[in-house]
Amino acid sequence: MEFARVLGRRRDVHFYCPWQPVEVEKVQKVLEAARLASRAMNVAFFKAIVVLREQLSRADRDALKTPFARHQFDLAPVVILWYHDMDAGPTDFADRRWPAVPSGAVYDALALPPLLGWSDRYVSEVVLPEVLGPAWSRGRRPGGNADVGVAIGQAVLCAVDQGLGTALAPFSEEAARTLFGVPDGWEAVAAQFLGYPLEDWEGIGQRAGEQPGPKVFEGDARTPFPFDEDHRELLRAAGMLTASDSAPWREEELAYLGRLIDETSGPAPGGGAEEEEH
Amino acid sequence: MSDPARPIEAYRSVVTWKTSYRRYWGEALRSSMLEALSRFCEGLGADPDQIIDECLPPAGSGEGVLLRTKARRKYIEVVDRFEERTERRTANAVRSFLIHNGVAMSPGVLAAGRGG
Amino acid sequence: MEFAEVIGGRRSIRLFRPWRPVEREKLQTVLEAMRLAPRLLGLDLIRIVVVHRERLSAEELGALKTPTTTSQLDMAPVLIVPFADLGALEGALDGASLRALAAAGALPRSLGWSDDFIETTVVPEVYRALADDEDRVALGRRTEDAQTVSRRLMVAATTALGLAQTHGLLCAFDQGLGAQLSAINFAAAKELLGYPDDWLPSSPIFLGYPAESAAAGGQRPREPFERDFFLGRYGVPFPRDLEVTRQLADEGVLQAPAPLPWRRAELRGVASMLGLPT
Repeated sequence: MEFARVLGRRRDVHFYCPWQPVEVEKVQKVLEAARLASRAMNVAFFKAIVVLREQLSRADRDALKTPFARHQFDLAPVVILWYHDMDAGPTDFADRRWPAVPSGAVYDALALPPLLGWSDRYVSEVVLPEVLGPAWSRGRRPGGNADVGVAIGQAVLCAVDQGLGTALAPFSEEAARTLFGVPDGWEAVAAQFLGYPLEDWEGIGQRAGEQPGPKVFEGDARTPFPFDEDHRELLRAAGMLTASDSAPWREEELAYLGRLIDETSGPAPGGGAEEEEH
Repeated sequence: MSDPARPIEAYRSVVTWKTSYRRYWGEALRSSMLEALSRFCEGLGADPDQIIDECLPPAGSGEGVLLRTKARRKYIEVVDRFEERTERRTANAVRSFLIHNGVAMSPGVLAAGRGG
Repeated sequence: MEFAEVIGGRRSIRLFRPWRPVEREKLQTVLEAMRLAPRLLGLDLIRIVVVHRERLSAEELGALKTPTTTSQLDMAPVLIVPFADLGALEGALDGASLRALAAAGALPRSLGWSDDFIETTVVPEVYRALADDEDRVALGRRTEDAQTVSRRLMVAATTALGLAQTHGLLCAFDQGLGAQLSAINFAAAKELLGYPDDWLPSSPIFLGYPAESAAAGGQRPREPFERDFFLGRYGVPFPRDLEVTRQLADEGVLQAPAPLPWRRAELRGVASMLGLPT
């Protein structure tokens, strides 16, 4: 699919087709996309555990749920649990084995040229002992890492390109640690659900529910960036910008899809009886 | 240079430069680059090793990161002034010497296009 | 461009054509792409400030420089500086933004996103819990910084930043531009841009036309796939199907590894052109 259309079609999908499996090669492609993302020092700060719904009991799924991620665990055939590996930098620094900057591999790949001040000796005599060493010897640094978001972003867009529905939501860090043997140095970032969407992307407005007010500025943090409406028309024609508001039939779509929840994973919060284990 | 009789290629930092340069570019330093460094050192009254040791003191010398940063900044300015008296290519030879010895710097680009 | 080619072809471009400005419409396209990045926890966190090199004095530009970004700041005509507005959490505590998302059908009412669920569950269990979180991390880069923030809010903020950054980087490449996440002196940027104290900055996107080829010497090395991704449980590598990697090579996702045979000659040529040291 054209890149602009991938951006245009991405929505947070809540309703996944529970009976249609996701091909394992599509999951691999999503992971491969994340692996190619930009990252500082060429360190893989992200890690991921792919979990198949079929491996989880109802109790397991319930344990992983959070207010933002409930039925998705019951419906989506695949969930990728994304983590921030707080030990990735220190490990690469200590091992000098993986193709991160400490190993010299990035310099050798002619990606960090002397044209910009880089040299083998700058890496070994300055970057390692004076920058990375002290930074990575201060211990684990929780609070996420933007590079993990960069990788996840590529995974999300790749899923859309593969025709899959996808969305990110927080999951129970404690439950996942027990269920999947997650190392202490990994910090939970987001669950990425994968499955064939039951809802149509056209139903959800691209800017549905967005808070008003300027978010983009120019020159300083007070002067709003003047977005050109004529150019937005071109981006609409290219499929990157799509309807801002949800379709008139969205409520009806949700009502129909809601029936599936009673059948598949028990009632929405606030009503009905508990579903039995299956 | 502190010892005019000593050939510039005999200095440890120049050996480092030659080795690192060849490793990265797959070819030897041009003689004009060595001449540029000689001119720079003569003007400064310092030898190549002294310059590098000032920017990157040997391990255990007790010099902290702040002093190193100060020395690096000083040499960025000294090379910029050297460029004003010579030309970009000559100054870049000196920058190459510093960079391959681990003293990171990159010159302003616009100055080159706008009359450098 | 096809999505696969964008994912495969994107590189960290470090050498730009200083003489060629970025067209206003291409800049807007990149900004629109960043605004389309997924939201986390229903929070509208991302703010962006665009900086034009030509509008800065020599002193202002100089103050933004770091040892290895001096030339890059001279070369790249545009910087896109992303922030996470941590104050957005405070603004969300009344639940109004979530109610707006539910009303627009972006948070499905048939999955339980009623006003009551928002008020009695999500706001207290997520937003209020983040605001009152005792699990806190330093807001700044130094761990001894006095100002702290909820660790989980920080994870959401850094991840949201990365998601916006990856949309920007990929869109730039799709537009024929070069882009890289790099560093600036944020103390100087704070003074120059005047952003609020609760805006968390992240790596700016340096944007311009590449002075090196789009391939920038080839695809950068990566650690083994099996080191990053696990199936079902930590320690069980996700099996990488080599047939899928062959497909990805055909699609342009996996490309020739760096360094390409002509990379040295390219760097030499660019060094001569831009007056940079070798």
